[in-house]
Amino acid sequence: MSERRKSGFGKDGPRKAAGGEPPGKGELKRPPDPEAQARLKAFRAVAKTTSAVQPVEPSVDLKRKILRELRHWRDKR
Amino acid sequence: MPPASDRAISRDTTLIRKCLDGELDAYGELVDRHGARLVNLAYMMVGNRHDAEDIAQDAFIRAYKGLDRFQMRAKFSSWLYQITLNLCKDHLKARSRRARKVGESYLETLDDGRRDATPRAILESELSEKMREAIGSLPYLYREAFVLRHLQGLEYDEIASITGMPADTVRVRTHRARELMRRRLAPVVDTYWREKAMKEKGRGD
Repeated sequence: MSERRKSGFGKDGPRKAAGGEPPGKGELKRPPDPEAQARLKAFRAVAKTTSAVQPVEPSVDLKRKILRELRHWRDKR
Repeated sequence: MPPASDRAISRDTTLIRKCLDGELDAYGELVDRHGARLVNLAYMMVGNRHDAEDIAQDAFIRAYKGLDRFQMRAKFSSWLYQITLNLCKDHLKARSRRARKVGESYLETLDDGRRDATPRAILESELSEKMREAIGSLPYLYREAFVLRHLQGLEYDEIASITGMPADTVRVRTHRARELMRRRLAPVVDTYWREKAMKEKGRGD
């Protein structure tokens, strides 16, 4: 017999062993911690919002300005 | 076939070699490849678009001038990030010397285009603005870690090599930044998702 069976809990868990009904389908074995859930929700919201930061496009002049400056610098050397 | 990141590094290396041989146009391609990320990084760090462009421009010019010192086994993008972040630090120091608060110019006014935008686009651009504002309010070192990790999408090891900090320190800073962002943004985010849901429901009716 496995250790789990020997403990008397069996596959239905401690509630059945204690004389109660085993947890039903979809029923949580442990009551949720509201604070932890709120924290998790807020963290997820921040993670989602990070993707909402709209990137800025560099101006079309950026490359031209850089290359012009570098040509000037190279010619001076 | 090598992964895309390896192919990107290899393309950068080819272009750098061409630059060292005097082909300036090859540097133009490097600007095309990395320009947007650099401008966005600088924008998130200094909070002003015009200054961000100047910083990115300066970073590219400095990188070119020091190209012969670049070690090919390193990632060119990491090197560019390093130069950009140093310039951002200098810029913020100079700005604080001029006794201007960082927050003052951080929040740029929304583009006039918003008048023609749909409600959803307005909501999203407002949220984007709030995010930028919240990022700008983070202490510098937290902001640096947060932006590199969450907006630039870099791995902790890469951020560690850019900032010269151990990866664990970067992890801690990113976590603390997220915690501060969460506290600051929770009400905003909540309102945003609720309003968005209402707008979407309204459109569906």
